Amino acid sequence: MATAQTQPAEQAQVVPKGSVVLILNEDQKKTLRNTFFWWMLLSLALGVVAGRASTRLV
Amino acid sequence: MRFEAIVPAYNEAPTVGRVVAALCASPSVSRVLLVDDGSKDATCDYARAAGAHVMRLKKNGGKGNAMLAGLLRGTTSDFVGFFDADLLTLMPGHVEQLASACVRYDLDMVCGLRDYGLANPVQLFGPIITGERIFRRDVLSMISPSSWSGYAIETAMNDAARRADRRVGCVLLSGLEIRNKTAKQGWFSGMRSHLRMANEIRRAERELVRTDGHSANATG
Repeated sequence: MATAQTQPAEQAQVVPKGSVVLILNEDQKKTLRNTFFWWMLLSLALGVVAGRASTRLV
Repeated sequence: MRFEAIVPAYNEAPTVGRVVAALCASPSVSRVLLVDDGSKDATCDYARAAGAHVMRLKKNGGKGNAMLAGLLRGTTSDFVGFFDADLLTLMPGHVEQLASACVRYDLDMVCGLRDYGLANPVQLFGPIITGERIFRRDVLSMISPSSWSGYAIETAMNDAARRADRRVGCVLLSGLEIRNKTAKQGWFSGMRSHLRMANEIRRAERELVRTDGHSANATG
């Protein structure tokens, strides 16, 4: 799903036919970016923990 | 752009008044039609008091059936919106957010997603399941009659837009809360309804893949 930023009417964006876009304002974009960041950090941390645990098991 | 709003409802007396009032207060809404799907409570009275036109169905035929009845027998405009009757915090601003996205990006279908905070990425990668949508009427005419039943309609709408190469937009509606099934029916019965809904959606998706989305014009 592509993202489009909410803009003033005079700068209307053209969405290509057949596409699905996510329309976000600036605040929502920032929040979503932060959310992705925390998810990635959490995944990384879990990966490290799991990696170390499996090394010890060997 | 102005559109007619259809609100399918079954025993939603605690929330329907607020939903209808928010829709009536939105400048983009030309008319609010509540389709009462055989409710046994005062849903109709609250909706009428809040300013909706009411269509009563004698028997409870499910969400899709109520939506179709409203669409065919109660609306004529080029753009039609569907809104759930169990929303707790729908504001005119939410409705305007959807309508303005539709105009600004020349969309054929715009869907309002609830803002789940940290869980948002999950819903962004899944199928679009929401009761808050605005459509160009002709998109709806591509949905087969058999798909207008229960919750299968959610999937059929996505499929119709995709197959017709239409422009679809999703808008995050911050602060929109819903009175969920466990609050309405109790924990056990509510969970069962959630599972039934998920199952209907899954089955509908499978069926659409199996039949290659084949559909007849039903709702022109």
